[in-house]
Amino acid sequence: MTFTDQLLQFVLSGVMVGSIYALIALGFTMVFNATEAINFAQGEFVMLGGMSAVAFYGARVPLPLACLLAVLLVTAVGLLFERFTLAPLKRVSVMNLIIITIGGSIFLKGSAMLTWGKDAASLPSFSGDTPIRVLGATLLPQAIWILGTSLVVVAAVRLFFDHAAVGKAMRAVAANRFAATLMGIDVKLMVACSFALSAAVGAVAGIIITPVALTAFDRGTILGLKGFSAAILGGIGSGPGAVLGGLLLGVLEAMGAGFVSSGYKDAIAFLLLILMLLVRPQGLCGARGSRKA
Amino acid sequence: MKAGGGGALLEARGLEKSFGGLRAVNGVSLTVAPGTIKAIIGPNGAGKTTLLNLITRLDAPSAGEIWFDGVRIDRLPPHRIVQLGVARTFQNLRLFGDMSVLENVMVGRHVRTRTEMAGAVLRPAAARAEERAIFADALRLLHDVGLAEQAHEAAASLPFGKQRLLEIARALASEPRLLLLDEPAAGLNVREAAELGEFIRRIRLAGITIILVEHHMELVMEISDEILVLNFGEKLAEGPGEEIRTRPEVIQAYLGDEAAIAQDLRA
Amino acid sequence: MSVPAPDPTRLPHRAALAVFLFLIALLPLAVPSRYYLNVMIFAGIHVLLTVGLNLVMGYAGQVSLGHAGFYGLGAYASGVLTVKYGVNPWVAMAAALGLSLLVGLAIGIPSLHLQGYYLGMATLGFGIILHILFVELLPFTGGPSGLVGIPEISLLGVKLNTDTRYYYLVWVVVGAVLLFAFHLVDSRVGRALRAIQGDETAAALMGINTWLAKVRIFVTAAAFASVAGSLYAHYVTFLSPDSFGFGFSIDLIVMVIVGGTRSIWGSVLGAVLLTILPEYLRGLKDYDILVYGAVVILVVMFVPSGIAGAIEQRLQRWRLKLATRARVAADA
Ligand SMILES: Nc1ncnc2c1ncn2[C@@H]1O[C@H](COP(=O)(O)OP(=O)(O)OP(=O)(O)O)[C@@H](O)[C@H]1O
Ligand SMILES: [Mg+2]
Repeated sequence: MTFTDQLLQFVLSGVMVGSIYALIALGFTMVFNATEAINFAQGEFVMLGGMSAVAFYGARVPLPLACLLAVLLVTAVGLLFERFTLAPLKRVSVMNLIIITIGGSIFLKGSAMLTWGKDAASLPSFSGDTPIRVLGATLLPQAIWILGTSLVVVAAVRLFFDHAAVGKAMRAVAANRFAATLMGIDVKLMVACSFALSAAVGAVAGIIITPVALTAFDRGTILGLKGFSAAILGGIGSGPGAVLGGLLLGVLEAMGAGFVSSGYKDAIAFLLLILMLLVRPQGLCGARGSRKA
Repeated sequence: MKAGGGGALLEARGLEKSFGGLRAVNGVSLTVAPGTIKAIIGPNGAGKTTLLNLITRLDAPSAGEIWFDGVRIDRLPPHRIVQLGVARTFQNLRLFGDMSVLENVMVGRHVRTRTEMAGAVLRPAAARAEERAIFADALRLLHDVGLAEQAHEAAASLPFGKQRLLEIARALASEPRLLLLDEPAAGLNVREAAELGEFIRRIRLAGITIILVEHHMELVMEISDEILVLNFGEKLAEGPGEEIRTRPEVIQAYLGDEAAIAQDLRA
Repeated sequence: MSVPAPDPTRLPHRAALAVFLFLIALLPLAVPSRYYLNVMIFAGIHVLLTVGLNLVMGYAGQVSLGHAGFYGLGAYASGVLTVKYGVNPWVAMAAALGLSLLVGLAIGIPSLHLQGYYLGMATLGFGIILHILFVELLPFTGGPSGLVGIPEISLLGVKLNTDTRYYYLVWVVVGAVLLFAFHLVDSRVGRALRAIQGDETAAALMGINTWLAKVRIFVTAAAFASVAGSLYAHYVTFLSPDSFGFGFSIDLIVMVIVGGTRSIWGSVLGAVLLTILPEYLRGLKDYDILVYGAVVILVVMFVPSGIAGAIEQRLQRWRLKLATRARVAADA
């Protein structure tokens, strides 16, 4: 393999993983915009997506239907999660919000462990495992699925926020909660919707990655952290930022793993993230300052 | 060159501040002589608060210089400016709500005291003495503003008018030479406003120079030596009170704002 | 100036601390088995961690999601120096402390310009990087399979090789750190931290160098964590990177919040309770994680100021009432 081939290979696998991060970051972004809270259980939605798809598939449900059921199930979990943790709260500090969602994530993780055990599980690839050659690099068919699905989801989310009535209402809530209330928008409902949507997007990410990366009850945490990093990298609260941040993180990580050492790949990702924070804390696409007086 | 000559305590030259396209402060210069009270008036959004923010470096000026007693302060961080002797209150109260009334004023003593971590933990006699002095000084200031009774209540639990007084006491605790008051009379009734005027006068008698941003014209006319009128970020007029009140451009500026005329020029 | 009236809301923390430490000192005589001492040693180590974290998070209001990194740094520095270089444990502990101070400065100086989630993310990132170093610096740390054979500590020729002896060592350190913390929060420095937590801008306009104050307290917490790590290393004599990951940083935050932010007693309570709780939950087998998660949510929902916070508020209200009544009686 020549250097350029290698580079191409790293970029390709980086984009694949990065689009997963982008989807997770998108979930963070939607909840953040509606509630100003970081939902630390976002990674668990991803894990639940993968695990429940495996479970449905294991129960002899055809693969496409199993995936669909998994997304629906996790969406319901997202709604319940919001209903039982955040909805009852009135005035609460950011720190306590973080802790509640962490408590929730522990709970979800525990539930998954009790339901499905501690072993890692997998799904078959959606269309075989014969590698495809792209110039000097190789690509698994599942990678195409991942890229394609991510594209579709990102586009769908975009369309939803730009055109659907509910999406516009959610944006109004994100822009100014108080004004949205005055306009007669049911803010509580919109917050619930944002959780449902972020859970669904997370579940999709969890399902499409499972054939290449396996899943297990404890895989949600690190995926959640990566998604969170991507969201910050792109500029917290920005949808395009989330996607950009995710892809960037994925590619940088793949480069780090390829050229330096796979053990240090996360360290490299986080180091870059920290540098970014110090140089440009509002992220790539963010407008909000973090140093405001 | 050392500015602030001619005995000015504060001197600002060509101050500018833009927020995006908006010029909140546009080429304002001002000098404040020691021991005087300078009022800054102007319609809502004229840039009065922004001007105070520039002086205390909460906002960085886009252009211009600020000198305090011969020291250029427009690049210093806020805490250094306070150290030099500038203190302020806020239009939208910024008390430490969870802390007690007394503790708020004790925090105000921070800049004139020196116990650091080692002293705080080991508590040598000097540190204990300083802590007692902080306590006593803060309590005395609360007596001055009539809040001693409420010393141990949470600051946030005080009624609005008393919170304003507490902010002044907290600012005074830093032993300022220049005190910036941002609409201290807002929300006070007539009697309270008169008491406040009396109190501000006493502060000046103690040798503290004051910049007073205020809509309450009665109070402004009563106690200020000079008035500076801002409009759309620019200096519209400056001079002694009686003269300012009759200037046509000042009246004109207020004409756009009926409430302001009714309220402010009634005096 | 006459002597000012004492603050009626101020609780006699030092007296309470003396009583508490006295009871702690008696505990080894009362417990039925060394198992309890073993748990209480970990609880003490956790108190060192939560008290520091509470100073940073509760008092100064700065989110720190990587505290376990400093704990690990202390543990590994002690472990590596004693195992690989044969350094005396006390010297190693001091060296670990120095290293943690330096790393704390290196992290705190740039990061503490950031606020809110950004600071959270930065500290999280540093915590994860430290954890990765524990795993990857194989020749020193032993990597994922761990570092074994860390020697026991001796004091004045006495080997601290029994649970009882080690228990006293740990709790003497805890006592010192608690005294440190109680004095600190009730001082000019502590007030400045609470002011920063309340309103950083207003605090700066009280003449507080907020960044410097934050860096100092951050480094102090790093130092406490480092000592906790060293004590841990010499007690268990075996280190695995798993003990110092992001999950443990979160556990520590949970201890602080459940106990009560802005309360030193809260950190003691949170650390002790949540060290003991999993021991009791062990009977539940795998269900413990569910109960743990639920307890965390319920406490934050229904007692948002934490257990000690709720108790202290109640006590202070009561003392205030008594003080007022006494004054009214005196006036009459
Ligand atoms: N941080 C900021 N970002 C953007 N615009 C700002 C900011 N601060 C002030 N402004 C704008 O600058 C202008 C001047 O505001 P400023 O608060 O200084 O007015 P003011 O004279 O104090 O008014 P008021 O009498 O209502 O207190 C206003 O148009 C305001 O909207
Ligand atoms: Mg104003």
